[in-house]
Amino acid sequence: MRFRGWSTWAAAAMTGALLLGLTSGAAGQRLGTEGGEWRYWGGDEGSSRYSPLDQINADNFENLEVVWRWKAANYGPQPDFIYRATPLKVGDKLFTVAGSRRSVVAIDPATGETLWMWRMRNNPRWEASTRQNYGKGVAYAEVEGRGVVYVITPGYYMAALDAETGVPIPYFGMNGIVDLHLGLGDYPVDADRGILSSGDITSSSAPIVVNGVIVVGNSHDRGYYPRRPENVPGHIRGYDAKTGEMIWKFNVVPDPGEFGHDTWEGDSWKYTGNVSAWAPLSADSELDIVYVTTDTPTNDYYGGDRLGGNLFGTSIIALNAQTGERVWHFQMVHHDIWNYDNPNAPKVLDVMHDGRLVPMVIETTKQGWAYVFDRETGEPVWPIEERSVPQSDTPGERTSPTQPFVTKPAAFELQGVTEDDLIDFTPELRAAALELAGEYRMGPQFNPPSLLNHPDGTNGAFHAPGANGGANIPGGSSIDPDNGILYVASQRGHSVISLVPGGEAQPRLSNLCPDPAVPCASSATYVATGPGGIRGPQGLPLLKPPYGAITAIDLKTGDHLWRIPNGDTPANIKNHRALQGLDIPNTGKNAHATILTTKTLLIYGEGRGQEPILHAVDKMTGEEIGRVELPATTNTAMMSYMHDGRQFIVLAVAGAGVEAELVALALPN
Amino acid sequence: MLAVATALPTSAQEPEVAPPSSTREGVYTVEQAERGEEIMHDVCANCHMDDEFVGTFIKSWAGASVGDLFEEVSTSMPQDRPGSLRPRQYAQVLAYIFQLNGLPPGEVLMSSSIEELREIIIEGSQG
Ligand code: HEC
Repeated sequence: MRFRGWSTWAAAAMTGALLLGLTSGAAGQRLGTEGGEWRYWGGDEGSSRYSPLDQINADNFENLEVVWRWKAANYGPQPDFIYRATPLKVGDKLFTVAGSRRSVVAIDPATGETLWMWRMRNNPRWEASTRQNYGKGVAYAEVEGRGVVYVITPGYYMAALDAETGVPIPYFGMNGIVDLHLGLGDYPVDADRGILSSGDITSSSAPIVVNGVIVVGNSHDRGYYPRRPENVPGHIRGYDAKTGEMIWKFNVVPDPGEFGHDTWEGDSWKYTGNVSAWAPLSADSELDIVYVTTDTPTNDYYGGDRLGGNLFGTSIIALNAQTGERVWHFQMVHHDIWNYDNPNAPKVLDVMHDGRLVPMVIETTKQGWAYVFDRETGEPVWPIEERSVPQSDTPGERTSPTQPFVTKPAAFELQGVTEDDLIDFTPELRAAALELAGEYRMGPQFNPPSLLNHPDGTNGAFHAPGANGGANIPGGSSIDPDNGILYVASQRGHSVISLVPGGEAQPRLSNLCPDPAVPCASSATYVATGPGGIRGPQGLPLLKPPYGAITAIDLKTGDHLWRIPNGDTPANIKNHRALQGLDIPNTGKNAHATILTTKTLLIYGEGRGQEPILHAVDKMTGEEIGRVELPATTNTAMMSYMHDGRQFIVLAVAGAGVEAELVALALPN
Repeated sequence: MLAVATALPTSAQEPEVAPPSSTREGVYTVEQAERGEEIMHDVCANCHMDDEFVGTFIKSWAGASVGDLFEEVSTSMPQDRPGSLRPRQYAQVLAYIFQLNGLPPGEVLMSSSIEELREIIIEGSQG
């Protein structure tokens, strides 16, 4: 009997497994968010941005209506115009941040009523912060039965708040606050203002709590033309979720004796900074691993002041959440001089691939590639090959001879710029585009930045995707764990980098160079004049469309399933004088679509500055199912939850002249 | 607009003249460019040096209207606070960019209405 019982159970389990295998082809062990909640910035600890809810579906999507609007504009001295937050939903509350002070708020999920608000008292660290805006949200954990909300402030403090009341937890740090400047390392402090004098460090993302440890990332000011080659590195730290005590630190620029130290020539390890983990973090609490991705070391576009491979710049690092020990790492770009900072929270999911359930972690990038690894071992799921790349001729620069090339999945965005990639709507426009581009060096992926006024007559070098191309934080990526599909929003974009000697750079920044009479150069050997690209003729985009797209990638095979333009052709293309009478297929919008996957739909907004429309498409085909109008344009990925039997979608909107707010949509009652 | 007016001499005493139709015809005032310089260095210089807005920049916008450029900049910049300047401040920034490119100032205040600015075509200072 016992035996039979067992075999019946086993048979049932096997049928279940088979069924799963047959119907979906992917066994999703991680099913995204649970219980109608949204407990992490990315939905769940694996940042799936997936909700298994299906009250809102293909049949009723167009009936969605605005249920409430929550105004963020009054949180902070000026209204915010780019609201980048995604709320959490835990129990009967939403938790998020608002405004340049990064006030933390609890909101009623049914009505939008503010339940409590907390903000850090003003201090010079806030004034000096380079990331007052862009607050993405908070983390939540239960500590000894009590709900706690964690936030990192623009001044780089961490606060722990009681989720019920918003009151700081007295036994956490000092009265609920931990100073994140402390324990970073031996960096000089400006005694008058209490800020680090050797650089800037802050954070715009939430931390993540993994098995009782809060893991804290960071971010810095942009690094196109920093005032100096020195900065503070974005070391990763782990803190006790109850007491706020710092437990470990992982050096993203390794000290002498640490692994990777020899990838920094000379003294560059001593003074180089950045390498921040500004993208949100992800975790696998069963493995007790946190997945951290990093950005470029100081000076985004010139590496002559930091020769070497520069570990752990532009890398994904798997760290043991309890100890901070490195489990594995992979450097996406050696000696990065393209500002290819990792922009997305890594995605964690299990996918049936080659007859085995592979525990994957995926990073979608500005390079236009999705890097797919076995998250236990760091082994690439499809080969990533070191290939030769063009070399720089900028004095003092030494490019890495090779870079890692992802062989599968295929790139989801245009890589490199050749004459073939320039617009060809008409022969005249093409000729004009060629002439404009002719001043700059074209080249394949990893084309190195070059000098303004180069002796050979060129003025800089293209690379694509550029500063605002490929995948990035606003749209990011989402997954469908049921089907093992990755969706990634990307933008077509290139940069043209023109380097000038630091001594000739005169960025007159009011905050850094208060006296316009005093020359304000940079002590870096070379810096870029900026991150932008060049336009095509008559203000048209230089590159061929689509200007923005969503790509669906089947992780079971690594193949692209489909690719759709982001929304419709924008008005400035449709109405452009030079294009009248031409038949131009949908170019999509030049922005990162903001995406969410649910049980039955892929839902997206068109992103920064585009039409205020929310689209629903078929997950398997990319075909549009419906659209509804929004009060304003979306700037960041949305979330969904169930409350009192009603499914909501909440998204942050803001834009030119539109002050930031949260908008909640649901079906009519 | 009044096509004949373009043939008439323009001066400060005759404010009724038709607005200029090309950036070569003095589309902004010196004061606007001065204010624009301050804004550029306070707000935009955090991410852009002036060098980015000369040369190819103006060549690539040539043929489009000032309204097109105004719309682009006012909806997307500054990147961390798009649309946060007032319309007249965006006009001042454009005035400064035109000045950087050697385009002449004039007597007429540059409008901050996209529709009116669509009547002015961008041309570089030479060629
Ligand atoms: C926080 C950084 C940042 C700030 C501040 C900023 N920009 Fe930009 N800007 C960018 C980036 C990055 C790009 C290129 C990608 C893009 O279009 O977003 C860009 C592109 C541009 C372009 C497009 C160039 C072209 O022809 O394609 C213009 C014009 C521009 N900026 C003007 C401005 C002005 C004027 C300001 C100040 C009011 C400003 N920017 C402030 C980051 C910034």
